[in-house]
Amino acid sequence: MKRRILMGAAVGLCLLASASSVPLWAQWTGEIGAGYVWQNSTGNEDSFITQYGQHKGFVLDDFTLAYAPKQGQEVFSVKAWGFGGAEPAQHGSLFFRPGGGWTFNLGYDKQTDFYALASGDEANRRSRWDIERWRGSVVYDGWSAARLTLNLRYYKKEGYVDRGIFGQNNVFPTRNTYDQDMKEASIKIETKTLPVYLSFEQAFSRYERQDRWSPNGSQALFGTSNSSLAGLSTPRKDRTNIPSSRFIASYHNDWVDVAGSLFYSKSSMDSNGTRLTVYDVAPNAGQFRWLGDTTGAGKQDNKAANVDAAFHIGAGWSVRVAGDYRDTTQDSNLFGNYLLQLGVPGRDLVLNTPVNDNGFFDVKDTTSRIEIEKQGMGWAVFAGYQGGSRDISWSRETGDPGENVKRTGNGWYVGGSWSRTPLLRVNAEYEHGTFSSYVFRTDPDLVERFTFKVSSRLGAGWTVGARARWEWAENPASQALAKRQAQSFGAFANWANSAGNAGFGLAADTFTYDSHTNIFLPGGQPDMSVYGVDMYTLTANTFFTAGKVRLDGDLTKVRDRGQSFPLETWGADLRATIDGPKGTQFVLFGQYHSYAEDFSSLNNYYVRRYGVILRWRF
Amino acid sequence: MARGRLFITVTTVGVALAALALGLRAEDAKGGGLVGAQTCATCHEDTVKAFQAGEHGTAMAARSSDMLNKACEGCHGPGAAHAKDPSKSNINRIPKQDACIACHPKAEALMALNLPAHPRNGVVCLDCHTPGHTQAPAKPLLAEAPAVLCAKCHGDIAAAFKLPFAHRQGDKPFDCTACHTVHGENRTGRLREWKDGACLECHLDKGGPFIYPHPPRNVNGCLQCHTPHGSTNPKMLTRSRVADLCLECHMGVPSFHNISNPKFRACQTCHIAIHGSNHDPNLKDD
Repeated sequence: MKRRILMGAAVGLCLLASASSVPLWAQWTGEIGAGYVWQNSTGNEDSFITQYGQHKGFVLDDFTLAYAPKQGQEVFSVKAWGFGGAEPAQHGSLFFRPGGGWTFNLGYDKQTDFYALASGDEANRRSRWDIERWRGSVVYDGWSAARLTLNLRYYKKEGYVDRGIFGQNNVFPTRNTYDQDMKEASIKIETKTLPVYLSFEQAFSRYERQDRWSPNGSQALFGTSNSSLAGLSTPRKDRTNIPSSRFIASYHNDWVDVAGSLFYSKSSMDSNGTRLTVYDVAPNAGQFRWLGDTTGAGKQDNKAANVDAAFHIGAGWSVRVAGDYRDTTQDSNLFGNYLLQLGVPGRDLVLNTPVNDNGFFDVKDTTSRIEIEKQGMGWAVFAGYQGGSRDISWSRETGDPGENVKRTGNGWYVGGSWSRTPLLRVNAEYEHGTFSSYVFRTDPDLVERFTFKVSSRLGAGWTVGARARWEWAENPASQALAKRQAQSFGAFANWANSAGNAGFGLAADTFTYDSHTNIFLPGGQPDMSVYGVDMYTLTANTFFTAGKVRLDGDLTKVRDRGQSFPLETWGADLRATIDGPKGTQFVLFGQYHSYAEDFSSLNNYYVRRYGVILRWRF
Repeated sequence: MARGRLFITVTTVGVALAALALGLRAEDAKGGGLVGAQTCATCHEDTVKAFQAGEHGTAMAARSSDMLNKACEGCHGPGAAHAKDPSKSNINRIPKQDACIACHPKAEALMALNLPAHPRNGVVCLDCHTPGHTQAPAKPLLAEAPAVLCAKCHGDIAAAFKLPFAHRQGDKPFDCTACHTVHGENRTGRLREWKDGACLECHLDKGGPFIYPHPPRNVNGCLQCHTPHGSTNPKMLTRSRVADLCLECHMGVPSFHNISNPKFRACQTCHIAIHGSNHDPNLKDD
């Protein structure tokens, strides 16, 4: 259906272009590249697809068709890539500018997500879903003072996830079939010639979810159970309507930049329908039938405002001030009945538990910042102070004491940079922050961060650089005694010849992360959550052209030696592009991916991909 | 401290309004000594022709022929002196930042405001954009694909996309601009949409509002549990074991959750609606 819409739109726009006064067949340009990819693997191919989403099959590498009159702007273009089955993402777009200030855009993309691992915490889960996103816009730019834009979006998500549900003190296999969509229309008007830029956008969005659960086997996933899953159905629907408004104003001149925005949205969610779960207890003992027959609603108001201003005082001095306000209030309720029917139909015991829950969830954040900066000839130093407050209160159900936390926080930062010449660019920054009260026990009440970067264009085609980042965060024993340290270092060197047809690059990055948090195991026994990453990433790439052949190569190694989830991956890509006659190109490529975990080999894979693409430019 | 914040807020709003009022009266001074593109073309014929036929030139021509005629001097400054005495010293060979902002005064001009780290580290428009004398490899007049440009400075983020679990589009690079607005547009976090909007572009069902929300998601958003660019952990979680992630916040979990038993090792096996539920306060039904 969607493809028919896309094709129809393409044909329509082509006809429109034909009917316009534009002289056709004069300045058409484009290219098409398509081919086939072979893929073979040893090990767990599902694990590879989980990570890369790629398969064997046809692939549309690139398609472009564009028309522009001589000495004129592009009037019409069609672009597409990814279609064919080998790649997890597809994209298509149409652009048409018939004149008179009108512009039409139509975009389509599709992303496929797959998940199936053989070990780990979600080894029982398997999912595959697609999201298709359609975007259309009509822009009228024919007025001298303002531009008008109509945007339309339609997203559709379909697929399934196989996973367990809890019941009868066990977990039973089920399939949740996704049926979700989003529709949105918005209109925006923005000024073009006023000294102050103003933009107002009004949007209306609707999200709908009609996921359907069903049994995917009757036996419990863990151990044995006296029950078996005999039925599961969820004929229910969630619908959320969200009108939203956004206003932006900004102004710029030699001595001041100022911008402010206001945002308001009002979400209204309704949830209706039933859920029936049926378990066979034992031969001839009848069934447990759980029926949830509820109606729920949630309303959420979002208000946000911010204003930023920068003043260029003179002599290189600038002062920046900023204020940000966000206020979200939510009220929700759920009422209805939970029915439990025990025994054989007709001779069963029915237990009815009415539910009437009311909850709320309010979050109000404010932040403000003032910063002073001195810029000289290619250098800058700056320092700033920021303060903030957070006011949170929630109660998720009737009787839930919930939380009510008000806290303030503040921090400061200093930094400097040198970028007088491309020969040396350096910058360093230190940040420090803290706050007064906790919302979650893992919130770090002290954060310190230091970053440093240096790069240099040495000349003769060489660019080198290095960077470092240290981060500390902690909170006291009265909370969770959380201690987190992260360090990241990197260095790179690139070279390219003056003609730009040969070069190489090398990069090395390290990342270590060490986290300790006091926890309590189920039952109350104290313990510690320890998470450690000790990783390096090495990449090398090269390209060079010899006659009609261009070679591109890329090699990546990732090694995590940390205690939590050590693993090693390799990736390589070698691509030869050969210019043929009359605008044709042949592309041959080979790819290699490997993945190996230290603790288990169930998800390991070694994948080789080979492909050929024929391209024609016209 | 509250007074301090109030002071900063009031000062910010007051000064911003004053600046707006003053700015409305500001005049745009024009320089003299313009000679027009025809004169430039007498020596720089190929460059002028290529510019006028290119994306930047044709966009100017669509606005007005006068704008195209002044295009060279709009960026390189008035050329009368240079035309009379051609010399590198009496022309702006490398246009100043203001040259771009003169015609692009909206969100693009506010980069110094929204992304101060870019200008203070010497990043200027022409570090990412081409002026239009040659065909740009990517739109809008970009010197390279967005992911390549960003990686030049943000190497640690580029490295994160090499990790086993990352946002990918197959062989096509994942565009940074899919989530980030490079020029800021005055929204916190530099993301395209408000709060978690960038994530909801694909994960439609995670937005809520939910009748029984999971508080960390409502308060801190997706990044409370997920790393956005790449991770060694499945589902791009911040911990390799789900139970650790949950137990760091949840105390008082009933003792029947024996985590030595596989059934209880992954909390979301039963608590399936971890992002929020419309039916169950314990998040065991979505």
